[in-house]
Amino acid sequence: MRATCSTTALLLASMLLAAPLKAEIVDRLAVTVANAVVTLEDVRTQVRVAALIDGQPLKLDAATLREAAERLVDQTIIRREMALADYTPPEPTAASSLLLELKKTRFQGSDLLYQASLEAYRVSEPDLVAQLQWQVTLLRFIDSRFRPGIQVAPEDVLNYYQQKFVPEWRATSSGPPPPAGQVRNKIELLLEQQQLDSSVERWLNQARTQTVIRFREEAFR
Amino acid sequence: MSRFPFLILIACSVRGQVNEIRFDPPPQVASELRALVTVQPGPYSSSAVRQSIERLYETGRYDDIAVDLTGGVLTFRLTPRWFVGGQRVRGAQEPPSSIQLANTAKLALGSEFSEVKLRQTLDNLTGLMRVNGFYEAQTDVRTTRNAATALVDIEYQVTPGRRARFAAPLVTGKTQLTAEAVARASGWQRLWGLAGYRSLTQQRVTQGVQRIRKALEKRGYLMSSVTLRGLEWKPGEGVAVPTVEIDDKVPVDVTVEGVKMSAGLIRKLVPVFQEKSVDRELLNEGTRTITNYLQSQGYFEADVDYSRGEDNGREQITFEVDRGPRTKLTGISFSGQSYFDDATLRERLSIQPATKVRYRQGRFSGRLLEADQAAITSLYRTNGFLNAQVLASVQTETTGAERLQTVNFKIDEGAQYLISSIELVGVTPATEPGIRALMQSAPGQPFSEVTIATDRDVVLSALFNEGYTEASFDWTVQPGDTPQAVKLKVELRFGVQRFVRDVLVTGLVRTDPRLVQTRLLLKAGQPLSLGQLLESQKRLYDLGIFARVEVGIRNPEGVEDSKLVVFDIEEAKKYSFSAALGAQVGRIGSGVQSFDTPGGGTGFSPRLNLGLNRVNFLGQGHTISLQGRLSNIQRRVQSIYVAPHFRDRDNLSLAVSALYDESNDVRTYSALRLETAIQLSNRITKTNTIQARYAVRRVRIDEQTLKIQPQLIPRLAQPVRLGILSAAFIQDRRDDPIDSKRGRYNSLDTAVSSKFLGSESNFIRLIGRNSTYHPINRDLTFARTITFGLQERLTGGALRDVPFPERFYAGGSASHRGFPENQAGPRDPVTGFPVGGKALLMFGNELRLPLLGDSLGGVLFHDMGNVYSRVGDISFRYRQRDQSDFNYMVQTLGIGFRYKTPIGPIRIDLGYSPNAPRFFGFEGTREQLLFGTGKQTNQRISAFQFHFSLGQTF
Repeated sequence: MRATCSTTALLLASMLLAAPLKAEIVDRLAVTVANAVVTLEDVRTQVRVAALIDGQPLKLDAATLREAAERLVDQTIIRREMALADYTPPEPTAASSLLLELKKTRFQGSDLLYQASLEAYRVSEPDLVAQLQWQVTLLRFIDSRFRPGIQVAPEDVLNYYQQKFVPEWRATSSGPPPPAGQVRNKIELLLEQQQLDSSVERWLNQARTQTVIRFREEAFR
Repeated sequence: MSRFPFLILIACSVRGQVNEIRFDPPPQVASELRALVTVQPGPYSSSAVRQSIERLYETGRYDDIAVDLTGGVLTFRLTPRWFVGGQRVRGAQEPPSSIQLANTAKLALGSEFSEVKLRQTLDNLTGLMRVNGFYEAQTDVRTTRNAATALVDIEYQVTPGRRARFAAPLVTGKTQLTAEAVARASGWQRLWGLAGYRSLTQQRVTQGVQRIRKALEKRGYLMSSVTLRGLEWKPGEGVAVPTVEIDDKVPVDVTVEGVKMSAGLIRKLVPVFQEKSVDRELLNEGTRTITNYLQSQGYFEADVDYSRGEDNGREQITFEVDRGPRTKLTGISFSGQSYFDDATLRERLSIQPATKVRYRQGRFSGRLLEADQAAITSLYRTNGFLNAQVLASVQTETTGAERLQTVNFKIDEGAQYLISSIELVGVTPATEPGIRALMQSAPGQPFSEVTIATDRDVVLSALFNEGYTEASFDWTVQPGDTPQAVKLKVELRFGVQRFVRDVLVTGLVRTDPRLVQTRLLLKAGQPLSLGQLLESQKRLYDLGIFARVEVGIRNPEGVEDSKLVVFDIEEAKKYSFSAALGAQVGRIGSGVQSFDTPGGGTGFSPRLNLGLNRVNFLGQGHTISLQGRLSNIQRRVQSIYVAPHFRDRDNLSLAVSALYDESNDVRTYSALRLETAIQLSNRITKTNTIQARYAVRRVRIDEQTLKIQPQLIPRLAQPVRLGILSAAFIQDRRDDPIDSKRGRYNSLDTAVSSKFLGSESNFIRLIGRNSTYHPINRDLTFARTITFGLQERLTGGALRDVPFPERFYAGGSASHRGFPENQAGPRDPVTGFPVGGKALLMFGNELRLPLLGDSLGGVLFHDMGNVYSRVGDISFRYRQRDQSDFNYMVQTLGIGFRYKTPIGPIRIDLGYSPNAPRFFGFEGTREQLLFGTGKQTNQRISAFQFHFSLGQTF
């Protein structure tokens, strides 16, 4: 009986030991963009930081990871372009002000709440700062790389006013729509932004076709 | 029970701890991977793991990397990447050849291997087979993976099936040509359609379309489009029906008015024929080319314009030419320059003032003038005159009936910029002197972007050859301390030095690998030199036994310090066969038996040459060849065994030969020669070669053909065996062996024939030649040569004299142009046929000059010399004493013409010898000669000689 008990105890102990000792993938290649790598841990960090910033619940399912990996692929391509163009990134202080803003809006200025969120999302502050810094860098890079080529023609503004603005105004508001001259600047800004977005998207799509991108599907299972 | 929580605690504590790092699978050289991994035993660091993954991936050796942590053991699980190794194609039926198929595969040697690429490759191969008519071709592939090298050897198996034939083409579109005319024009029919259609190949398809287009062009449809829309395979009939879409479009006639111009010349000058399109730009270009052509003919003021019209549904393009008066370019002058003298500038010019023969009007056109202006400007810029301006002006004046033109180049040199200092950034004190030594740019030297570009190429090439494959060279200039001084700053980035990990050779089947190894300059551990890589490839091709030598670097983009270099070799076919028909025309005499024309008569000798080569014998790169020649003056079979790179030495080569030769190239007799020889050549330097040769031969003269006095026949017609040991030294410093313009050629050949060498006749022989070539100016070359030879009988031996066939015979296109072939020297006093001499002295002098344009040249030559009875009889005497005296110097003056071709100049020489030899001949039969009843005649070598040959005389 004693022998049986001992054997049972040993078996149980082995089973318990076996669980933590099972090979656990701590990190792995998730995507390669030419010679650059995006690891699974990069993707997870991206998901966690994005969820923290957006105040969304943390989801680490395959679809979310895949979506985050796609964003990191874009990021890698843009970083490569920056390196080729010898682009000087903005000072780190730019991210500091964004962090202050985030703390104020997302955590009502409470450092306690902020730290608790970092812990809950398992995000380190440097990862968060890096993400904010990247956002600033990206915006400025897009501005310098693509905005000079954007031009909004007066007829485009007029077309937009006639074909979109006025019908939408009539559908949502009462009274006559404001004259075109009054909303010209707003429409110009809007069209400029649209053109900028489509330029970036077009360039990114083209760059993706010219780059060998390989997703390791095992990383997203 | 209390033991369980304890165990769990242990387990939990080790999860964040790295005690050991492993790789799965274990690497061949663990230290290489350990150096890349930044994770250290201790607390788990995700950033270190990430960095390690990144660095491992950068090597390019792994397709996938996963890291797991179990019980403190951090394991990098690596999926190795495979690379393209050797590629072979089996079963090909030409065309396409296996080489073409391998090239179509497009899998670069050493690049990353993938199944997707392999599938595309198979599609490519099938596609190539189909376009060559193999519609039922099957392609399969077998891969062999070598874990040690990570290379995948690929073998494509092609089963071609039957090749399709063409069928009558289906013609669509708008065309005047009937389907029959299209079929005829395409060349796809066999024997004009009488024997059906030819088999389909890619080349025939392409040529067929081009031929149809040409047929339309001939009818004036210059802009027609001919497109092969498809080939419809009909399996039951084994044919493919081409669908050809033709659109004739409007026919175009191009004419030139105002000057006579052949249709061929118009096609050459007006680009609408080449471009198959008519637009304003091409017509303007046509105007320019016609103007340039007329200017090159001396019509410097030619005016050309064009007009377009329509006539009867055809577009008419007319170039109206007013060629103006013919003008002569009489002078070229320079003004404003001080740095370069006129002669230096003149050397750069393409335009030439008129000369009496070559350029009767001078050489001039607007295009040439522009090019010359640019050439002078470039010369100044290269020498630091950065702001130099050159302006060409043309002055024309009329003197009597002639219009004369002069060109003046007005040069504004501007300031010369000199380099005051050169700063080299990125070099070490150890490397700096070497880099500076490579650069032409130096302090005090003129500053020139061209020179710096050359420096850049030289320096980068040197660095690439040292394994710095990513080296870069950037330069900037800043103002120096004085206004015309610049400071040059060169920034060098060496990058990582790459080394050769190993050299792998694949694809050898019959070749001894040691032979290949001796040709490779790259060795494991040496810097990865791109220059040596290409040189090794060239050295392998130089063996002449490989059809394809591909060189690749495994994993070229991977960040590795050392790289595996792969040579993938495809051996050439073992046997090659050649056959050629030719003919010899010249003063080669009449029949073998006849006593007519002892001085040689015009003859015609058709010739058949056959050759069979067996390359790479025993896998050693040796060649055995069997060459046969059959003509009515020679039957010759020669077998040669050549071992180049003998004993693994590049400069040594060994040749063993056996010869059967039955010839009567010396008109006096017909001889049968059997010879075996062994020769060792050593090219001691690029220009100097020494040779040692031992030959044993047996020569038998056919008595019935010997045309000499009968009493000498028993003595001279004896079969004789000779053993000759010879040594030769050859020095060749000519710029071009086929058409030399500068340099020299010296040779000295000494031979001894002795009974100790198995000879029946003891004698020594020495032949020396010295030729030099002196450029007088850009166009004129003076060339001279002297040839001296002597033979001396040594005591002993069965024969009392040097055998008849071993004597010197000379004369002809390659020696003395005052004689027909082998007609110089002593002659039989009765029959007048040459009997050879034991001494030889000949001089040749030539002035080589251009005649008309760039292709036709000429020579004025003077040959003098003769073959003498013996060395003591050598004489410079001009006059022949009597008809039995041949020991005097025959002088020949002549002119020659040379027409440049890619294989050397075609040569015609006309010589006149005022003192050509006179001698007694014999008229009668052999019996009459025997009984002394024939008639003695007076003969003479014709004073005028004509020679036709290829290449310069010497």
